[in-house]
Amino acid sequence: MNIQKIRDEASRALGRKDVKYLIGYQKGSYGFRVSPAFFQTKEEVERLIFSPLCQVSLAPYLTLEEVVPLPGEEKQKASKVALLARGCDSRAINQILAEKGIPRDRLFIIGIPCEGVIDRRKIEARFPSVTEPAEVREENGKYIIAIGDQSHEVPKEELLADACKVCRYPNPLIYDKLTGDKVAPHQANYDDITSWEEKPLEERLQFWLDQFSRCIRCYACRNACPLCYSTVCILDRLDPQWVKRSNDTSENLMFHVSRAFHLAGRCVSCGECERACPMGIPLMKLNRKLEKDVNDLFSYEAGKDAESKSPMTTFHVEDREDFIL
Amino acid sequence: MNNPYVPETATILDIREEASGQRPIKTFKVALTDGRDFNHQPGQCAMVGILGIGESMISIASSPTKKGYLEFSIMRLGKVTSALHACEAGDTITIRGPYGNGFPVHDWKGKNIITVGGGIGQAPLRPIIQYILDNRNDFGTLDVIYGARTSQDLCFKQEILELEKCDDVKIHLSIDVGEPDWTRFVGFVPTNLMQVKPSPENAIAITCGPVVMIKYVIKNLLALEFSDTQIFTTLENRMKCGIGKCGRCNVGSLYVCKDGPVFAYATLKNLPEY
Amino acid sequence: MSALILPKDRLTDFLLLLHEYTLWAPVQRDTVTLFEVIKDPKDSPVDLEHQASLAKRSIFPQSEELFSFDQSGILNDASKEGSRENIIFGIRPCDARSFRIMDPVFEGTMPDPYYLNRRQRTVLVGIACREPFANCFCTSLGGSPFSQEGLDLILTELDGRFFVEVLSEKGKEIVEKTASVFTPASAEDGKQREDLAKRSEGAIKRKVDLEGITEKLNGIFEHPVWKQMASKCTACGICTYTCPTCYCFDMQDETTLRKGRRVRNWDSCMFAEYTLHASGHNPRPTRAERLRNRIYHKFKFNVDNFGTFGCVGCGRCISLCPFNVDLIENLSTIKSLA
Repeated sequence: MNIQKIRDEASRALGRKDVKYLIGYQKGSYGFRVSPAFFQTKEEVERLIFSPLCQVSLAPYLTLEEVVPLPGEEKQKASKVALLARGCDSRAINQILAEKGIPRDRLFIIGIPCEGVIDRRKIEARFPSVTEPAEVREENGKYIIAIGDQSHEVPKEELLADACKVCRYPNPLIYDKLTGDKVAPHQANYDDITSWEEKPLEERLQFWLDQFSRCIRCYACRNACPLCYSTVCILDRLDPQWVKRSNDTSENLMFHVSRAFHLAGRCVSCGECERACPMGIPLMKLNRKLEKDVNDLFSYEAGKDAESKSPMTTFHVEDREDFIL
Repeated sequence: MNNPYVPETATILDIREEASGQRPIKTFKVALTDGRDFNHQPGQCAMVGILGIGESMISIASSPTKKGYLEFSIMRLGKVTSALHACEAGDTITIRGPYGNGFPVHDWKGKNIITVGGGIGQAPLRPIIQYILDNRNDFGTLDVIYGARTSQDLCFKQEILELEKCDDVKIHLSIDVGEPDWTRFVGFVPTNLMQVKPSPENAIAITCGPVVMIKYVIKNLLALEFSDTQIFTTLENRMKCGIGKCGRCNVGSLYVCKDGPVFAYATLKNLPEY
Repeated sequence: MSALILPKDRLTDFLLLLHEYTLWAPVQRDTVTLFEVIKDPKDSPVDLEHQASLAKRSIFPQSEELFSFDQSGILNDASKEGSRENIIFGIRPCDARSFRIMDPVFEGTMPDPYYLNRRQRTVLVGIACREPFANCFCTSLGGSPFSQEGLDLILTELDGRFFVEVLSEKGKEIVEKTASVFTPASAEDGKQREDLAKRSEGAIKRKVDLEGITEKLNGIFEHPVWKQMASKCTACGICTYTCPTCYCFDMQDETTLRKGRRVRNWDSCMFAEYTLHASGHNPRPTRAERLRNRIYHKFKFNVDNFGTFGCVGCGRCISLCPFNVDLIENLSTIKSLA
């Protein structure tokens, strides 16, 4: 991963007449934070960073309403948004393209093969109360962490995000430019899911009721998810109202199960939902279970290309069920 | 401690259709179940609702001088107003109020009053007109400038046509586009205002209606040399509690439910654009 | 009343002696620490180490029935319910101050009986912050890690024991009810507490000078900075729900076939629907307007209406925002605008 090459690509993208702005990362406001950032000009590219701390997916910003103020006249005709995309980000983009959520010609994708990101909770637990800007780079299976003028070494697997440990698509599957060397994927690993499936139903239900009793319906999981991009979320509607807005464990469960089902066959396991959750609810357990089921039943994985339709959103006459459900 | 969230009940005495079409308007005449009068100020509002559906903040469209009932003119738009439109005389609804600051009618004694209304915006102006007519000697001249898109959209039509014959008030009606039987002014309300050309001398002007109309009416009133403190209007916003606690209806530091809905232009021009 | 000592190994006994109160305390739930009702202090270890969230729901629950009804009318006014006294144990000084900021909202000419009934029967037993967390900036908001404002009792952790200061009549009552676990504090204890207080206040790393910020906000409502600031926000509700001074709520009727209830739930000014009119018009259609409104509410509107900032500098919104929307950074940016 060569930051200069990434900055050069970003600079070239911003030099294009048809690119309005670039979505990337910049240093965060304290400690280990990294902030999503919007770049308008080549000069600004100096503050573009890319490191194992860049955990947030930039894909959700593609479907939020236009807010970045456009600079000069010359960019008014520009129609593309450029962004940095790793493996999971690119799969999310593929899935959105396949669903016609955004037109392909609105995107300029700078693909970056990804060696995994750090889970912010893990590093903040390891080094609590850090406010000085910190930097991390990867070297020989270790993270070299610079906090102020101190340097620390931590084995990679201690801080690597759980989703990255089982990532099978670290290399972008769609891009306009690719920068960086390909990364070897991990093996598929659903052992934790299969052993979970063996537990009695009551135990599994009790686990989820327990977890969702903590949910505060902040909807951060939904807003952080690249694939939740409906203008009005059906679970927010009042006409008709599908889920109560009260904080009630049963309704909370209903919200999350509905959202998981709406993502079945569309979720790309980026793990953003779980990372965003302020209550530490293990949402990926639910999503990965459905991901496994969809693959087992339909031999389908989300976001492998920009055309394939997810089995849960399409209906063919040859389908073995005799109704759309 | 009184519970300001628990509503009172009221019975619908009568329902009158004002306008039909895509956004129908009906005037509901209601009486509180315990028979008491609201003793509100013109311009104040109430949370009108139905248990199981919800509540909506509606201007009280009748003057406190009318005893034994309250009137609300309601446009069918969302969940609560649709449920109200499906009601019949005899049905029970809930009321909470009166809320808001009302028009300072006591300060207006002896002055010449001009109301400038558009469409359903006439509803909060009606209590002023009724109040003045019921206390006629306390006020100077009364001019009612009112218009709607078509003659079918004019609210309180029968009433206003009756008032045209009355010496205590001058009515200046308009519709946006001409119709075969329409002999009065044709054009937008702000234009009609300039035709009427009321004098700012010892006068107060109150305007309610579509946001665009209010903007131009105020512009024209200022051009006619009305000062900031002589011009009043009402604002609206999404509301839930109606008592300045749930946080959402603010325009700047002011809550429309509690510090409004009536605002003098002198205050309004300093509030952030909303 | 002079200061007391509560040995750490008698903390559970102290809590057990308060069995007639509903006890709220910070409890670890997997990776987070939350204020929850503790049924049996023997079973639930209290976590006084991590920054616990959601203390406000002990007085202002996230979801609350206002009243119930059926076809015949209103059945039950829920504001009349509840008579048990509450104790919030282990609350931080910032959270204790936050209730003082919310109080004037719920008081006034139409007092809110739901909030006020609970508030009146709640005792706040605080724990001083020996070590501020990364984003603590209470000192920039007139608070401090050892602030006593709004508390009935405050505990400071010393070696193997808590230094306990009684701050109000309610606090005195608690101590009298649990007298058996206390011994008098010594001058040395008091000195240790002083030293810890000084050290802790000095350990606050993040600061922002809010002098003149309200006046500054007066002039920058239309500034393009709001769009920039809001560009990474995704309009979820984390900041508002975990904020100790946020109180906006939604009201809704929930019904089954024959019965129903009107409830109020926390709402967030960051949600698009927050000011959506039935006509479809939305005065705050994008995140920029909503983020601006939130900052204005806390640093100008609250000042205009109640004379204080609507923020205690706890930093939770900063720590928990997944997208690094940073209030300290935003306030500094605002201050630096010409």
